[in-house]
Amino acid sequence: MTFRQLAANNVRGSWQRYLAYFFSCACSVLVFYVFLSFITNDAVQNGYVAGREAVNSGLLVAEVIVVIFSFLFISYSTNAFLRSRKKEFGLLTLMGMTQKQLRTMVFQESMMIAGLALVSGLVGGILFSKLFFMVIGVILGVESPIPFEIPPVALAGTAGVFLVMFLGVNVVAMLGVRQNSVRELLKAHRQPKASPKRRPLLLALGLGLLAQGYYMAWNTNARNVAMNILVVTTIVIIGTYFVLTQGGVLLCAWLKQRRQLSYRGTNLVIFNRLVFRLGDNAKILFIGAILIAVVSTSLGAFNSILQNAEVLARDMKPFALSFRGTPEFPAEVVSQVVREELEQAGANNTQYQRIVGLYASMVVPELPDRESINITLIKNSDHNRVAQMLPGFSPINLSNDEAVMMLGYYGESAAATQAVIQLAGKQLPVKFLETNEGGYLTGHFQLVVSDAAYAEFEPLVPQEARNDFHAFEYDNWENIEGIQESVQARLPNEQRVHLGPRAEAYHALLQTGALTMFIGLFVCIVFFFAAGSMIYFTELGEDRQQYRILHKIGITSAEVNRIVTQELGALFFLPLVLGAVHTGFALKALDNLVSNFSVIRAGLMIAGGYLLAQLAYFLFTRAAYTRQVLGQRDV
Amino acid sequence: MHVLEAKAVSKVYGGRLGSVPLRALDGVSLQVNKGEFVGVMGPSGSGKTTLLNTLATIDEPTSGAIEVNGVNPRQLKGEKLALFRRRELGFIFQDFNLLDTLSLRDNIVLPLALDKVPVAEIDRRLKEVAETFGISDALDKRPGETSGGQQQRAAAARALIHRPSVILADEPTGNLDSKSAKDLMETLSRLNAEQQATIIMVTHDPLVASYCQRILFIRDGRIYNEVRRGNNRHAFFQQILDVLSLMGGNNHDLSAVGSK
Repeated sequence: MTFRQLAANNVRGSWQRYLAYFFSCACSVLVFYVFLSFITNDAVQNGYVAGREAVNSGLLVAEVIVVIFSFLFISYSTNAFLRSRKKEFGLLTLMGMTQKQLRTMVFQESMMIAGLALVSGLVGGILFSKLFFMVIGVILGVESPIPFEIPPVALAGTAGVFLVMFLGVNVVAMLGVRQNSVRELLKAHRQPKASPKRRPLLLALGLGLLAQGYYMAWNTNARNVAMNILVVTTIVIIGTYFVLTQGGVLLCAWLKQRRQLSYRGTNLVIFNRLVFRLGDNAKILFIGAILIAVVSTSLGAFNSILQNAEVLARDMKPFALSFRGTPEFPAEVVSQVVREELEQAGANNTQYQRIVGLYASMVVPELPDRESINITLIKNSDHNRVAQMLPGFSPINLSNDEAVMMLGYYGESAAATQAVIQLAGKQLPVKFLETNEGGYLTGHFQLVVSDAAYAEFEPLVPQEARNDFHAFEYDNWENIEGIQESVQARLPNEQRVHLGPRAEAYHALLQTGALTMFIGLFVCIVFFFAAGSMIYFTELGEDRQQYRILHKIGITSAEVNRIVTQELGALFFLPLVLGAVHTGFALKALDNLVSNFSVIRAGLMIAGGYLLAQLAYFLFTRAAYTRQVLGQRDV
Repeated sequence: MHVLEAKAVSKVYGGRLGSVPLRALDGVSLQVNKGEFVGVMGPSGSGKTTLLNTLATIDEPTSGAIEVNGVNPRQLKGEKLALFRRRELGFIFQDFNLLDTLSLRDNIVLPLALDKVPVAEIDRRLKEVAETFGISDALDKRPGETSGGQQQRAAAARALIHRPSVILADEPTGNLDSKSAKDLMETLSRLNAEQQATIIMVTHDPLVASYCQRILFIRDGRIYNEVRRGNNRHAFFQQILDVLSLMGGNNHDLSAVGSK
């Protein structure tokens, strides 16, 4: 038997121990390759896909997350494996294996697994990338499928990144294989595990931090959001750490003391084991809870974008089409062209509105630190005609000294109740009427004034200081695309027109949302498998030993099932529940910032879906674990 | 009255896919009465542990039948078999088989807790067995924090706490020093004498075996001989040595501390 064969036999002999680890590694490699193969795809690089930059930067962020997470996962697992093999190392040392040989063996073994995982991941990735390209093609609305290819850069890049990672982790782990005394190594598995430290004070601190974080998140508004994001995130992360590292352990220790409860059936085993399982895995549970919170909050936020894309698009582009006329720009001609093209494209119920705003400024006595604020004056009657055209706006009737500041959801932060309008030396004090309607001339503060007041200012404003705004609205705006191009084609080249169609913004929102959720899904899968393999399968050998003992003293399979379910359930749902509560508060904070639609409902939909996925994954893991634990019992 | 009876029990290992079948037990019959302390001895590979595992329902006989208190455990289905094992049998293993995340106390009360015996009753019985085995002071420690002797006494306490019909011990002193072995054997034989506990014990060690009332010698899967103890333990010990040397086998089977 050569040395390499020995290593290979070691791996083969305990493949069950490595199976989950191997699977998760392969999964990370697969996802990494698929993303990279999209970024480096020739057709994509040559502009085959519109919005390539956005997709690529999203994918790059996802790649970085996958790499960081894989690194944590690989180094944790590698060290756990080495710990569980101390007895074996002791035996080998006893038989005369030198430290150098021991290290070489460990290194060869782990590189074999790594190599195998890398190759399977790449093969799986190549097969899977076809499907990925099809789905992403559909999301991005690419007309013909993105051509399938196997970019050498992606292959080499994936192999390189993971090889460096495997090598680095293994070299560090290998140096850690020290020949303590043989006796120590042989006895290592008999050594009592230290009980997790119990610090009730830290738990109290953690709970306090969480309460404070939740309180602040609940009361987030536009004014304190910047500060709150920082503070809340920090204290919630710290609080989560203390609660998860101490909470589970303390709870189980407390339950254990309640003997009426702990001396009931399988509880005795469950509470005792959980004290250790929760203590040992506290750091992973912590990372898990934070990741769950981050993932489901972002998925929730993006889902609310998807669900409310129309509202958001209307917010960004109040009109289906609009452009600004200038003295050099024959607005009448252009608007005629636009109307013809709209008819051509099949727009229904086209409405047209011209609004002429006057550039002015105002002084707000309540805001003494702002000298003057640039505004655009709009005529009451113009505004009322727009209000008829757009949903969500209502006509108003202003007297001479009244005005409406259209700030939309910034309205809350505007403390002003009155102002003095200034234009070409003329001043007009006005009182503000309250409204929560937003402006429709993008990029300006709009002040609606009475027709009479407008008429007083109008002669003082030269043509170039007027905002000549032409707006179109039609019913089937989502489906009318390409107007910008067809209008431009009919205009002389020097007349650049920018129509800013709402359909474009709308589709971009849908695309971004769908794409982010799709990419996020992959990152979630990587996380799922890795976390499962770390928490459930690294101590499989020890667990199997324990269940064998229980079996001998006569434990029924129903009782084994109960132990496994409750133990895995606690490991699974503790971070999940905490992460879900975090998500709830994060969504509430987001909801406070957005007035025209509810983030919470869409977010809860996603969080619910995520919960179901986790539940399915839990059932799957439990079945696999039960099979493994009961697999080799000596009946 | 027989607490336990084995009728012509055979056990054949392997024999699938061309491997040579190994006949570990070959028609072994035995009867154990209530309150008996029976030892099983024999050279390595003679089938003693297979016999014990078969009696313990951990292993299934290829042919023959076993009855404990008139019940054939083979006729019990999965769950019921586990409950039968838990209620009717108590085990003491060479390597203790304690759960290392549980304190000695929790390990000992486990069979009762699993059966949901009231806490007051559990406490009462725990106090009793802990005093019997002299481990009252170590109850809050975990197995890894205690000596081998304490662990084995805790394991014995666990085997006895639910008052099983039969206690099955597989090399219970195999991992113990001679002082701990002596303590354990004296406690077991006192329990046997005072409480009529029925014990079947596999051992290599003639000195340990001399605590029994009756020894079955097994060789090549068959019962080879049987000796009964008179009034004198030292004479019995000599008798055991005589049978062992008659049986031949390996030298180390005669050594005071059996090894596996």
